Amino acid sequence: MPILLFIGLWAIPFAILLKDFLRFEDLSIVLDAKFLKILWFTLYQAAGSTAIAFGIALLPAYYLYRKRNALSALLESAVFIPFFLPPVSTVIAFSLLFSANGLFARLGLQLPILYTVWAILIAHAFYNSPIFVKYIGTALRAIPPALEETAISEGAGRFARFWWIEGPLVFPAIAKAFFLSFTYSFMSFAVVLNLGGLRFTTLEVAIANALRGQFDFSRALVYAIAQFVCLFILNALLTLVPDTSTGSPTLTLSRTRPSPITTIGSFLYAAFEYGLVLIGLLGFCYDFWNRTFSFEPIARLFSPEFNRRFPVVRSLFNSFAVASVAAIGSVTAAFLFGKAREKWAQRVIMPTLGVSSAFLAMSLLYLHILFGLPFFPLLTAGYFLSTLAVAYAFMRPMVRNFPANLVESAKIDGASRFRIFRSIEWPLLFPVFAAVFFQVFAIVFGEFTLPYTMQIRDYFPLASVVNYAMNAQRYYREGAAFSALNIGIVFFLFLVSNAIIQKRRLT
Amino acid sequence: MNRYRQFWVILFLCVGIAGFSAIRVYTYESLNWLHESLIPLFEQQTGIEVTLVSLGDAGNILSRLLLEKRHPQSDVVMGLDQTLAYRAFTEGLLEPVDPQNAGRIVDRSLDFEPGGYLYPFDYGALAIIYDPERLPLPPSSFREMTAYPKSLLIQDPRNSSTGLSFLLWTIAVYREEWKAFWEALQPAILTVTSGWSEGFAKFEAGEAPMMVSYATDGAYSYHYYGSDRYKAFVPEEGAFLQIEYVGVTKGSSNREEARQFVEFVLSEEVQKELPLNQWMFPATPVEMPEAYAYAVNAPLHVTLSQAEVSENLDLWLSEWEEIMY
Repeated sequence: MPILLFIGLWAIPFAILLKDFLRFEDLSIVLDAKFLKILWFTLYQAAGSTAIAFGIALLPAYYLYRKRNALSALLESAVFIPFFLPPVSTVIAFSLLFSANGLFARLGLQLPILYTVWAILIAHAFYNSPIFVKYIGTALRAIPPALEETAISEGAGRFARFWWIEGPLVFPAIAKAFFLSFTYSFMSFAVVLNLGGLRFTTLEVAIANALRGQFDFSRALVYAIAQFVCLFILNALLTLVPDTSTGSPTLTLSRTRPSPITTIGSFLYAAFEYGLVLIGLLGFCYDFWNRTFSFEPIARLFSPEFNRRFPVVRSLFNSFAVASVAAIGSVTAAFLFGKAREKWAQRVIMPTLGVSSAFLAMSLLYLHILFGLPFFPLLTAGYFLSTLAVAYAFMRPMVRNFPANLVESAKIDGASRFRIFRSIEWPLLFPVFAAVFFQVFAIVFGEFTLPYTMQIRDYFPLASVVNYAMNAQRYYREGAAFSALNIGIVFFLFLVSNAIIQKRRLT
Repeated sequence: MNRYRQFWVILFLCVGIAGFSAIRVYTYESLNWLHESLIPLFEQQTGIEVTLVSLGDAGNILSRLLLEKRHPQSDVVMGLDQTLAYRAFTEGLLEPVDPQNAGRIVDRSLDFEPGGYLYPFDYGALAIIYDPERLPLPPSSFREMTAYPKSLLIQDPRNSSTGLSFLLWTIAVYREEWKAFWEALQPAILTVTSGWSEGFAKFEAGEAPMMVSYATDGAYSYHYYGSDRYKAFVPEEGAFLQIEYVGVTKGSSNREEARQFVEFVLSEEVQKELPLNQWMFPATPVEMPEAYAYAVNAPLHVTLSQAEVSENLDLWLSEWEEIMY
């Protein structure tokens, strides 16, 4: 029943939009050479980006497996970067580093990667490799040490241990990370548009062009359907991967120390990931264009005069409200669906990652136009729908591996469902709830496509669109300061939630 | 207590019946400055409440109007340029209106055809802006621009009104030869940005020394920074004007109020504010500020008829895509 409700929530807005705007003859677009070219490039860049992300994630993932210290904590936390760092910060960072006037050019190092496919691949690898680090690292840690010890005592070398033990046990985690990374690259919009340029059109860019440039809603719908079908097929194939997880919820550390190459590689990786975040945060007080320090722009953000033009404070409140409600909804639904052990939940939820955000936004906007539905519930519902898959992907393994005997014993003792949840599941799964809540909150807080496509700045301003409006009206310094402030807020919440999680773990 | 309640209900109904009126105006981000003093002035003069809705860029306005075609939510549309305006007209999204202040428009070449649907409120020529520090010897014609590899930022004509105007400009100059020109221009283009703002951010970051922009950028630079840090030139082949229009949305339930707003936009009060806020030339004669001495003027203009554009636009965009993509 809940899954039917979930399908209905997706289907109703789309069905209304399709009914009014889809021309069936446009479905033949999928046979056009132009469409096939776009599809080919979308697949090519997603596969390439995912391969690079996987490659650069291996050493840090092994480091996570073998060590627990400040660096491993940083590497593990990097999984939040793709979700809270807005693409615009990455674009600015790439421009500052790689442009003809950038840092590398000044140092005499010509790296002309901007507006080439390499810029897209590297930016996507930056965004998606932390997913591989987290998934592979966690899966490796879940391997019982006894297995490795036995293999070592039997004389198995490093490669043999990888091939016969680690590889097979980690493969399902790689498959899940592959799906997320591939999907994010496949759906990429801002990075492709800003770092690749026009020559590199993906399906998501084509959807935006059709919606906003050619005003051809029917064509956009066909592209969006094609995009969804591709990712649906991919997800269906991945559900065939057998789950060979050890089922061990305990996180263990390998007894082998990380090699110097693993350590150096992990340091460089952390520098790459956090360096770009640092550039985004520096916008708080540093004017990249004039190369001067000033706190004036950040102070101006809160002046009443500035807020009359750009509702900064209001947008922060709105973003907090929408992100909190959507995150609570996603975490709750992900927990409930995670408990349903059947594969159909995964088959229905995960492909929703492939739904175009621009398309979802148009559907929600159309509901507002037709029925006058207020923007707050529309946005919250939109974000709930679009983040449930992420929440589900992160929660499902934890919920599935939850010791069933505890729940069974409580049931035998006559405890109600609510009592079991309050006294057993909630305390034990609290770190998971908190981490996933924070992750969804961060995604929603920085998300841009939905409110931008819905053009709601004058109705219900959110931080990301107000930030965009500042840049559009040449308030670059204030825009950079506001962007840094948003990154700082999410980072601060991340630290607070981590502290709470640690405290709860200790108690 | 009940008596008080009845009083308030009756008062509320009376206000409603007496014609408490409000209009919704769709415009784009850069016209948001109207909020500051002009909208309150209009509200004070007419008693009509205005909700100004900024919809990103001009393309977003048309996109929203198309989405709302069967359920109109707006009364006035402001900021569509020639191409978008013609599309709005052919889609049946506009209502004829007859403001008296239309008589103040002197240059009849700015008029929208067919007449009566939309009125020009400002216009400006496109230009190439450049950074003289990085490009001390700029080109002076389109043809010369092709000799500067990876030096030019342009906007996507499928998404940006500036980008589309640039494409139309080159077609107006080169006519049947425009595709050959674009093939020659391609190596000079560093990248195609989705809109003017994104392009200007890259230009300011020093990614390329030239960008497609507006002839008034010199005036803007002088007004805000006291210097013309960036210079502009109009290629010698001729200038191309971008004209912005205001009109009434079809299906508006407040037609008279909407007409009054169109009237207001063409009045001197609004027109005299355009040069230093919108950085465009007003459609009616007003005294121009000093900074406009730094705006580039071009004696020669090239144009395309709206009908010609409308007839060929899809084909041109598709041919342009083939060249560039």
